[in-house]
This record gives sequence, structure tokens and C-alpha cells, in this order.
Amino acid sequence: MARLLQLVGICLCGALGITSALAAPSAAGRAPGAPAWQLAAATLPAANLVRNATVVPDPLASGGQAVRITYDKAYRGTNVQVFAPALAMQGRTWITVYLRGENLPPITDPMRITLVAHDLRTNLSASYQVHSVYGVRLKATGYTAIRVPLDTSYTATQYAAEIDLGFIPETAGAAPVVYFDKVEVSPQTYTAPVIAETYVDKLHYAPADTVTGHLTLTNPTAAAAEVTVIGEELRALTSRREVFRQTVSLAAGETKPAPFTYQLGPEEYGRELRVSLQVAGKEVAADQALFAVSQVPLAVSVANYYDRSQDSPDMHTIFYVAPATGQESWRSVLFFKKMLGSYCEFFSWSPGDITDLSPAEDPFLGGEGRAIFRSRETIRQQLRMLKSVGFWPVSYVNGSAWADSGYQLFQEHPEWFLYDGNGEVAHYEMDSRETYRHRGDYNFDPNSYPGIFFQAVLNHSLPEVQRYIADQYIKCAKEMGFNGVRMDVRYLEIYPGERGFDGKEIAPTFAEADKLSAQNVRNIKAMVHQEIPTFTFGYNYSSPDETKDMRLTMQERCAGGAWMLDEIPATYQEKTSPYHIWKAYVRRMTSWGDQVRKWGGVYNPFDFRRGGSPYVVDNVYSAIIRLMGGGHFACYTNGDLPFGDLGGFGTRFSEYLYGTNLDWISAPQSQVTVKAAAPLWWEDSCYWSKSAEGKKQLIVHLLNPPAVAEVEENPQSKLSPPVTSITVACAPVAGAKPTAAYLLASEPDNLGGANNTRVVKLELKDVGGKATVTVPSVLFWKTVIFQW
Amino acid sequence: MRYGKTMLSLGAIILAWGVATLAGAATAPVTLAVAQQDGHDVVRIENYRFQLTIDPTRGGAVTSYSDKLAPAELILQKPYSGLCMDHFQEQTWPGEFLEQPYEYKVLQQTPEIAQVMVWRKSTGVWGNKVVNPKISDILLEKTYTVNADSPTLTVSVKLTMPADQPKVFSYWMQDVMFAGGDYDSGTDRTFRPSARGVRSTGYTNNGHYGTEEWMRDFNAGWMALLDTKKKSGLAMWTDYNELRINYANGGNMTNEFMFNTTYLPKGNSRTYTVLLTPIVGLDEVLYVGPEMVAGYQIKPTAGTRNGTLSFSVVRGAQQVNDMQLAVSLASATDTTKEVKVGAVGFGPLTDQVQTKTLTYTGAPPDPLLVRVAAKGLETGDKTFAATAEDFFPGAYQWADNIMTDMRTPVYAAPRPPQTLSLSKPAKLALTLPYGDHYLFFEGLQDDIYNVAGAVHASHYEPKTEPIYYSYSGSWYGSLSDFPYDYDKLLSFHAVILGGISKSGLKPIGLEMLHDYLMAGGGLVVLGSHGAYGRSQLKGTALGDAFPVEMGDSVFDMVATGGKPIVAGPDSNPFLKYTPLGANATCYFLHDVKVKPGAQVLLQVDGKPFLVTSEYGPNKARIVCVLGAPLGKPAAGQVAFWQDPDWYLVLRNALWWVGKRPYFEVGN
Repeated sequence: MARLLQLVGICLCGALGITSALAAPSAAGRAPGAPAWQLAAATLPAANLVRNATVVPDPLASGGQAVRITYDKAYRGTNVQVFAPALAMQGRTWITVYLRGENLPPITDPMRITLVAHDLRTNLSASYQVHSVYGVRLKATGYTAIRVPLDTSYTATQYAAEIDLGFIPETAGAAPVVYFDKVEVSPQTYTAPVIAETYVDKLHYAPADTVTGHLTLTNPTAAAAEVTVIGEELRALTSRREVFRQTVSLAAGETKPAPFTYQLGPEEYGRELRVSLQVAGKEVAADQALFAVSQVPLAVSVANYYDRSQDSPDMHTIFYVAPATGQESWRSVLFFKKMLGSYCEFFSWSPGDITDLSPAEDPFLGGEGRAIFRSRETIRQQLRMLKSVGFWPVSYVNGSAWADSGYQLFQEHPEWFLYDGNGEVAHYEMDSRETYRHRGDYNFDPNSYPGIFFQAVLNHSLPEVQRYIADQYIKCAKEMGFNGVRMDVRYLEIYPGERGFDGKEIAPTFAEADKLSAQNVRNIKAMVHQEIPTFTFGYNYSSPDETKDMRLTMQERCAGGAWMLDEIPATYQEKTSPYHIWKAYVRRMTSWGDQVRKWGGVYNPFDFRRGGSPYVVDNVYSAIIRLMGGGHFACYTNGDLPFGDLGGFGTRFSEYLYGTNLDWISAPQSQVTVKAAAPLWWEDSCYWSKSAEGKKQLIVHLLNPPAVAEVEENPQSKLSPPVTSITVACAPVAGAKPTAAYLLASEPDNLGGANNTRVVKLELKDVGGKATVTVPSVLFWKTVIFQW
Repeated sequence: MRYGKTMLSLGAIILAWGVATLAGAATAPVTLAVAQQDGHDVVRIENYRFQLTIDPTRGGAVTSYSDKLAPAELILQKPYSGLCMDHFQEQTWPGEFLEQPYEYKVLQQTPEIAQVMVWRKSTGVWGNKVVNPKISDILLEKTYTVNADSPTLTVSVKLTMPADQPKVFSYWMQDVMFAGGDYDSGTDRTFRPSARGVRSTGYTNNGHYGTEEWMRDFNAGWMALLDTKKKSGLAMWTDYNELRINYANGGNMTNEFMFNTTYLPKGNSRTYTVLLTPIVGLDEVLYVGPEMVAGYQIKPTAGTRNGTLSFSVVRGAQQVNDMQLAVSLASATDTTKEVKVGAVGFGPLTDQVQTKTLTYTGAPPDPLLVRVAAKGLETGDKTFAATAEDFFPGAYQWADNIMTDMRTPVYAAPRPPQTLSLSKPAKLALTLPYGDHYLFFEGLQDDIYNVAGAVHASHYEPKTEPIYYSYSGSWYGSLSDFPYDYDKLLSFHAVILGGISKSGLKPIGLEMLHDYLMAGGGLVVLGSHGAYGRSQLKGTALGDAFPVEMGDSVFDMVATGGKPIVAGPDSNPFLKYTPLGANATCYFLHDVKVKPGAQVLLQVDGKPFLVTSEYGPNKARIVCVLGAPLGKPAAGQVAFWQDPDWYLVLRNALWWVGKRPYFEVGN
């Protein structure tokens, strides 16, 4: 992947691709390619103006005419097609499309550019790539050159490029128009070897682990070359160390692997492995890979989600419901590895959950009320694959006893269960039981079994039940291969009103229930950890409201790095919620995220409506705010929008989002002053921290407020204008002033720029006794760190 | 609050509206207009008090309701919000009707009355995409009636069975609205009459019982949602006899009437009528009826047993011209200690609230019962009478109707029995077909019993109809089916009653099964998780027919520690040649008392395991198994249900209760 290195820090061109495994070819070291072919759009044959496209006079176009493409909410497809002649292509070819737009929403309804390299010898597509162009990058008053890459083999071959333009309609009421002036095709000529691929074997390591990595070097030139490969590890704000160096000889046209290993230091948090290629002491190519390092397995997990600038395949069902071949499973593992997050939860797979975490039947009828046949052996194979690349797969566990295993346990031990005031367990359906009994018949229809026929809750306060649950979890790890569990529905607790077999209330008050439940959690954790010290726990129900009566239990649940799912924010878009006001949402996320982290938990707040808001801008802000507040989740992702590569940023700079030294500042106004010409939010997002070297740090997250004060009130996804020339001042602490300041960002400095995860040292000035820095702009989110 | 009222003819009420007038003022005509909204027809109706929109495309629901007096729009303009939304309880929310298109027709449109009908035929398809034949092809016709001079919207829902099939259904009407026009989790309150007094619930600020979403101890057919800050909201009334559950989601987010499960023969219809009356000016609600909505406030004088009681009333569907409220205060812990407070009179009731205050002295110690008896004169000189009762905790330590055990109410009024509509045959008599026909109610773990072995060994043409029991913490018990047709019920040789509850049988099932015994039918009652205590059949005619007396607690099962089953003091031919093995062991047993005259054939550790008796005029035979098929055998033990002869014991019990002649001739 092409990268321009900055003096300080790193560069991730999020707009153009992915960061680690399967990285695209390096571009450094090749001569800039002049257009080998170009075409004025107005000269396109009528047949290529597929739909809603007409040639119109346009004085702003280079030839006085352009193709006008209008938007049709009901049409999603190609508007214009361009076919270039066959040209010799090698590695990366640049396609430049000149566009201008009118009435374009800033971050929705993109013009999709689809590039295809046709191999005319075989009539097959050698490459297929998709890019999205949004309103933020185009002007109404002039044409913008949109330069997008088309990657092919490093062996020079004749390819014919196809360039398709088509609107992706998203917003009701939008009426954008795009004018298409011309297109250029610029193949590259290489003068030095390149890095074809860089990746490390895992996306998460423990401190002091050995990293095994893989480089693929290619020499696309006609001459032999000797290159020096240098690996450097970048960590925290300024740490940089060389971790390997080797010399490789490459014949003309040769491709050669260059594996490497090195040992991590004792420090935790994100790493960038930067690999450079030098010829005669001069850097000719560079590439990088990101990964996370932590002792507590999930403490720094954060991921990207499917990239919305692409037509992403829906691959998550491989680990969810569908039968899969080994090849499909491995392809999915690699696909998800690119998204970075190490947390991987197998949802609702078991036939009986807490009473059947290593099923004897195979295949078995699993699924929470959905009756899907699953293969025990396939799941075990998938878990081995996931762990091999650093994922931390955990089993979802509905904390109630289910189906046949729960039914049988109840038959043997009715005294192990909880009862309500009517002496009843949670739920059972004997007609469904009758259906379920036939599940082994070859003609059994899973759809005929609509629900779980038995569901009851174990009395977690009984020592024999605690032993039983611990044994289930141990079997889940040792026999199935899971690394932990994430509980839902019940989390080993007892509530007031719940009764034992004798009808007596076990804990009549919340105070008693809380104390008892905390003990239940502690006991079961201890039993499991005695056998498997690294086993992780996770739980649903971790919002302030849900835990206000069970705080001791909440703390005990969090302790040790538990994955704490908070589903309640999925309702915060509702007008009945106080947090549908963005300002209140920010404080809710930062304050509670801080609390959960301090209790030792790994906080996972849900997005609006679980799957996100219908409006893009809400999803962008929701992801930023939850990440800023220390949330762990799969971030809303769009490589062609300028809000940053959040998953990459969160991985690289996890220390400043998830660090155990972080301490949220409830009222930072006496410590920090932020001045800007437009409103900027920061008062609810400041933290004290301490670096690995023991240096005091003050973290100030700067958020450009949403254009509309309430969630889901901005259907056009309008943006607040960028806030520029911001001064951030920091008061001395005990008379000591900060000695350095840094800017962390993944977004660019202007809306037309490309995402670029970086740390930049800021110039520190003394203004009125305060250490003051200037931040050039905030589009959505940037972070300033003062260090003493 | 306890409430018993003199029932009025609803038809008379509706007819009376035609001549009623808002006291002291002529009212504007009611208007009806069909308008276009989002490309489809909606019906807009307006009278002097409210303006509403009926949207046929959205489940034929009222999708806008604006109370002019409040003033407030009560319905959030989003899907799944509205009044009079239809459901079957057999389907989980949202079910097959919500937000689905209905047909519509304007039935009447005059200055005095506007009437619109919407309708749709059920498919019975929901969730799992499988047709539920019990609720398919039912025609649902919902008629809205608005009168020019009444604040009440009358909704009649008529359910008509197909011409060729009987059906069993449980109708449910849902109102999703914001009292006062906005939502407040603590101060929007739902008021519901219950045996424990009128319960006021919100999403927050509740007492010991929490949000009480599923109210089952209601004792009158009403509920009301009130914005207690703005003092406005909406009251719903329906026939108490038809109700099953008074439901309020989240305590105050919805108001929903869930009606009793109903069997109707083919071609028959059942109509439910609901009155919706807007309220303005009340702090809380004590009573809702067709004639008025009333509230009250009690203000004790600190440090004394004295204080004031204020009553506020607004009119309902029927016009009341003169009304008296007689008030007394009683001790909630000793209801014989009652102090008469006095009476207040009200002139013609109007939409505007009227408030009168009484002073009381010497009230019994807290907690108190506020008791009110109303008498009134309606337009047309018809009289009405009603009573209402509420629990007032005052200085009572738990500030709610709960004892220190946090389980038992301080005071619970008896609920008036619901009058059921059943068509019984003139004479209850069995009509038994050839072969052995059994009806098996299968509850939790009853499949362990090997009932199949028993019935298969009973006849060369055995026939068993299973009815499966389900239980859900929210919905309580339910049955997969029931032979609501008397001819069918009376054709079984015996009924095997597994662990199913009163809530599953519902009043209709309880009464019909008892009728089966009265006709001389045979009954085998199996012990199991849901039997005896948990069945809560004690106190019902069916449960009281058993040869054993069940305890008061639902937790009536005791662990025996694994004891053998041995012969009891009594004998019966049906056990003579099929003794259980010596190792047959029982681990859990229902703790009951044997009634005089009953025979204990088997016992465990001195406690009854198998008891028989006869019941009723036709000497119905009943066998009760008190053991439960629960527990894990230790080495060397044989659980009784796994004993090789167990199925024969059960088979013989079926023969005996079915009055087969085999034992009489020594077989």
C-alpha cells in the first residue's frame, strides 16, 4: 500500500485499503505514471450512458461538455460505463476520474466507482475493486480529480480497464447530481523492488510473546536487486525500536518470501510494525501491520466493521448458523482478522447452553429458539482456526438451563433450581417437547420446533450448582476449545423474590441478593480459574440502571477483565431516553466506561437499535463517542469517509482509550481550556493517565459536535463545519508544566483528505502560565495528550 | 380497591347517548371525513371533546387521538403506537394484526353519531410461519362509535368463527399512548383496580410490587393511564366477566385488556365492548365505569386520626344527572372497625371535574380502606349503583399493601366470581365409544411416566388425545387444546391429569372437567412438578373432588431421600396382581392429607403414594398418584417410574377409573 511517511509517526491510508494482512502493494520507488489513456466523458457512445446520464454543456468541464448523472432513489446500479483499451499494467495502476457534484449529501448517497481489469486473453476479470466518492470530496464550482487505484499482478500484462460510475441511493428526498468530465488511466513503471504483502501471524499477543511475521518481496524491475529489509516497532507516543533486519537478493521479476520473528517487550497496548525496504541505503518501499498486546486477553480488543464504502460480503454467518467447509471457515477467519478485533463470540450455538456446553450429540440441534442443526466438530475446527491467528473465541451462554439437557437435569435435581412465587420455573412447553423428541428423525423439520421447550434457572447459591456450572465451563474450554464465556439472560445472580425448592426466598432484599450473587460469581470464577487460569468471563446487563441494586455483583463480574455487554444504549435513540441528546450521550459513555474499566471490566456498549441508526451521521458519532469513552466493539467503518479508521486507531492507540491508568475527569475546566471559533466538546472527555515509563499525561478528546443536537434528527447526515485553529491550554500541576504535547488522529485535517492514523508532536507554548498547543482542525474527533 | 357494581345494559347506554346532552350546553355535531394520508384512506372523526384518526392500513387502529380539553395528542406518530390495536394472546407481540391492512366501511354518519367498521380475517400464522388452526379464519370486525354529545369512544370487537369450524381464541386489545401528550417514566401512572386496592404503577416510583405489568387479581373491568402532573389521560372500561389480564407494559407504557380464552362453535360470534373516556382534572383514579370516572385524595391531619377526603368526578359515556357518594373508612387489618365519614352529592356530571370534600374524625389506625358507595340517576331516570374501595397505607411501615414477609398483602378483598358463558347439556352423562379413549393432560416431566405403555396395554384399539401444558412466567399456564365441546369431553373413558394448573385450565376448563366427574367420568391424577400444590386447584370444585386435601403452599413437594414404595392400609383389586418391585423407590412426594373415606393403596415412609375414592352422584372414580417422577436413583435402586410393572399399575388404574369390568370378575 502506498504510504508517505511523516517525520513523526505513522501513516495509514485508511481511505484506500486495509492495514495489515493482505496489504496492497507498496508504491514507493516507482516513477509517477503519466496517463497512458484518457477520454472526455462527453465523447462516450450513447450505449455507455446506461441510465440517468446525458451529455450536457458545462463551461467548467475541460472540453465544455460533461456527462450529467442524476440520482434516482429507486435505481441502484451503473449510470455510466467506460471501457479503456488494453494497456500494459503492472502492480498498481491509477485511475483518475474528474467529477463535480451539486446537492450532494456530505457523507451519504455516494457515487460508486467500480474498477475492473479485464484480461483479454482469458476474458476473465483479473481484478475488481470498488471505491465510493462522497459529497465531502466534491465541489459544485469546479472539478476534482478523484484518483483511485486498480491493483493487478506485478508481472506486466495487457489489461483493459473498465470504469463504472453509479449512484448508491440512500437518503429519501436527496436530489444530487454529478458531472463527469474525463477519465485517465496511468499504469506504473517500477524502478525498485516492492513489498507485496506484510502480515503478522496474530492480531493479539501477550507481552513478551514472540511475533512471527511474513513479508512477500517482489522485484518488478528488469534488473536484479539486493534489498535490506528493516522492521521497526512503534509503540505509545514516541517509542520506536528496530526489531529485525535482513538482506535479500532478488532476481529480475522474482518474488520471494522473507519471514521474520522477534520478541515483544513487556509493555502492553497497541503496536505498529513498520517494515521498510532499502536499496543502497535509500528507502524504496514501506508497509506496516497493526496488532494489540495485553495481558488481559480482551482488554484492548477493538474492531472495524464491514467497510460501508464497499459491497461487503456477509460472512459472519459462517460462525453463527451456517454449515461451512474448512476452506470457507479459514477464508472467514482471514477476513475477520483484517478487521482487527480479537473478541469473537459464538452466539447461541449450544443445544442447552449452561447445561450443555460440550454436547454429546453431533450434529445437534442448537440455537436460541431458532432450532438450527450445528456440527460439534465444525465448531471445534473453527475455534482452532480462530485461535491460530490471535482471536479469543468465547461461547455465548444463556444462563438458563435449556432443552433436553436442562430438562434432564431438572428431572434429576429439581432441588437445584430457582422457583417463582407460584412455585414455577421460567418456562416450558410440553407440546414443543413432543416435537423436540423427534429431532433425530431424518425428516425432522427444524421449523416445526419454534421455541425452546424448557427453560429454568439454576439456584446459583448452592455449592453443588456452582460446581456443576464451573464444570460446564471447564468442559466448554477443554473439550470444545472456547477461551471463555459470555453470559446472557442470567449471570449467576439471585434476585429478591426467587425461591429455593423449599419455597423460601433465598435473598429477600437487594442488599442480601447483591452480596450473595457477588459470592456466587466469585466462587465460580475461582473454580474455573483453578483449572484454566486464562479463562475469561463476560456478561450482559452492565448499564448503570441495570446494576444499581447489584453493585457488588457488578464489580465482581467486572473484575479480571470480563467482557461487559451493555445493551441499553440500543434504546438511547428513543425520545423517552435522556441520552437521545448527544451531549448527554457523551457524558453517559465516558463516565460509565471509566467506571466499568476501573472495576476491571471490558466495556461493550451497544449501538443504537443494536445494528445502528438509519442515518449515517448517527452511526459515525455513536462509534466515535463510544470508542472515546473506552468502549470495545466493532466500529462503524467507511474507508472513503474522513472520520478515521476507528478500529485501526483504537488498536494502535489503545493505551489512551483502554489503559488501566486512565482516570476520567468529571469537571476538567480548571485544568484544561479549549478555545475555538466554533463550539467544540471536550468537557466530558478528559482523562488523567500515566505512561508505561511513569510519565503523567493529560488526555483531551476534542469532538466536533453533531450538527443536530438530538440523535436521529439528521436524516440528510449534515455535518458541522470543521473547527479550525483550536488552542488547547493545560494548567500546571503542582507547579509543574507539561514538557511535551502530541496530537493523535485518524481523520484527515480537511474533509477532502484521506484517513491517516498518526501521532504528531505539537509545538508547546507558554501562554499566561499555561502550556498551550494549537490543533489545526477537528472534523469529527482528534485527541491532544499533554505529557509531564 | 374492591368494586362491585350493578351491571348496566351496555345496549341501553349506547341508545341513551342519542338523547343525552352535555349538561348545560348544546354540543357541536360529530363530523366524519375520509381523507388521504400517505397515499391511502384514513377516517377522521371529531366531536366536541376529541378528534381521532382511524387508519385502516395500520391494523384499523386509532392512530391519532387529540383530547381538546387536555389539550393533548395522546399518540406518538410512529408505528406500533395507537389505540384499539388487535391481538390474539396465542401469538406473541406484535402478532398477525398489528400494522396490517384492514378493510373499512362507514356505517353511520349523522350529526348525532359517527360509526365506522374495520375488519380483517385472521390467518393464524405468526412467528414460526405455521398456521395455528385454533385462531385461523376468524373474522374480526371492529366498530368505532362516536356520539356528538359524549366524551366516550365506544369500540366493539366482534369475532365470528368460520361456518365450518369451531375455534378457541383469546382476544387482546392494546393501547399504546402517552397520557398528557408526552412520556414520563415516574409520573405517568396506570391505575388498575385489584384485590389489593387500586394499584398505581409507573415505570419507576413503584412500591414493593414493582411495575405489576401482568395484573391478574383485578376485580373490576377498567384501567386508566394518567399524567399525574398534567392531570389528564384516558380511561378504558370493559365487561369484568370477560377479562383475563389487565396488562400495562413497563407499568405505564401501555394499557391492555387481555380477554378470557373463549371457545365458540362454528359460525358463532362473540363481541367485546370497550369504552374509552378522556380524563382531565383528576390526580388519581378510584373508579371507572360507563357513567363516570372518579378519583379521590385523602389528607390526614398529622398526629391525629382526623383528616379530609376529597372526591373528584367527570362524566363517562352515560349522562348522570344526580349522584351521591357515601364514604367510610375501615381498618385494613380488621375490617369490622369501620367509621362512616358521610356523603357528598354531585349535580349533573360533565367533562369538567367537580370536587367535593368531606372531613373525617376518629379513623381506625393505618393502614385504612377507603370505601365508597355511589348511587346515581341517569338521563331517562335510570338508576345506577357502584362501590369502590382502595387501600391507603398512611403511616403503615411498608407504605404499601404488603406484610413484613414481603409476600402477603395486608388486605386482599375477595374477587367477584366471573360469570362464564357456557352451553351445558341438560343432563351430564357419559357417552362412551368403542375402545379405550383417554384424554391426557401432559405437564412438565409427565412424559417420564410411561403413560404410553399404560394406554397401549389397555385395549387393542387404544386412543389417547394428548393435551400439552405450557407455562410462562408472564402468561402463566396454557393448554395446547381442550375439548370445549361437551359431547367430546363426555366421550372419554378416563382423563389423565398431569401437572397442569388452574391458570392453564382457566375457569371454563375447571368447570367442564368437574362436570365430567359429575357425569361419572374417571380421573387419574399424576404427581409431578406442576401437580397438586403448584396446580393451585385447591379451592376449585375440581381440586376439591380429589381424595386428598392439598396444602396451601405451592411448594408442597418433599424429598424422601429415596424411600421404597410399600403397600398402604387399604386395598383395591386393580393392584392385586401387579405389585411394584421391592426396590421401586420414590424420591419426591406431594405432601397432602388423605380425606376421610379415601383409600390409601400405596405409601412411602408412612405418607400416601396412591389414593383412591369415588366422587359425585355418578360415583366418578379418582386415583391420585402422589409421588413425582423426579430424582436420581442411587446404585441398587429402581425409580418407581422405571419399575417394569409401573405401566401395568397405571394401566389398571385407568381400567378401574374407567369402570371396566375386568377387576369385578377377578381378572
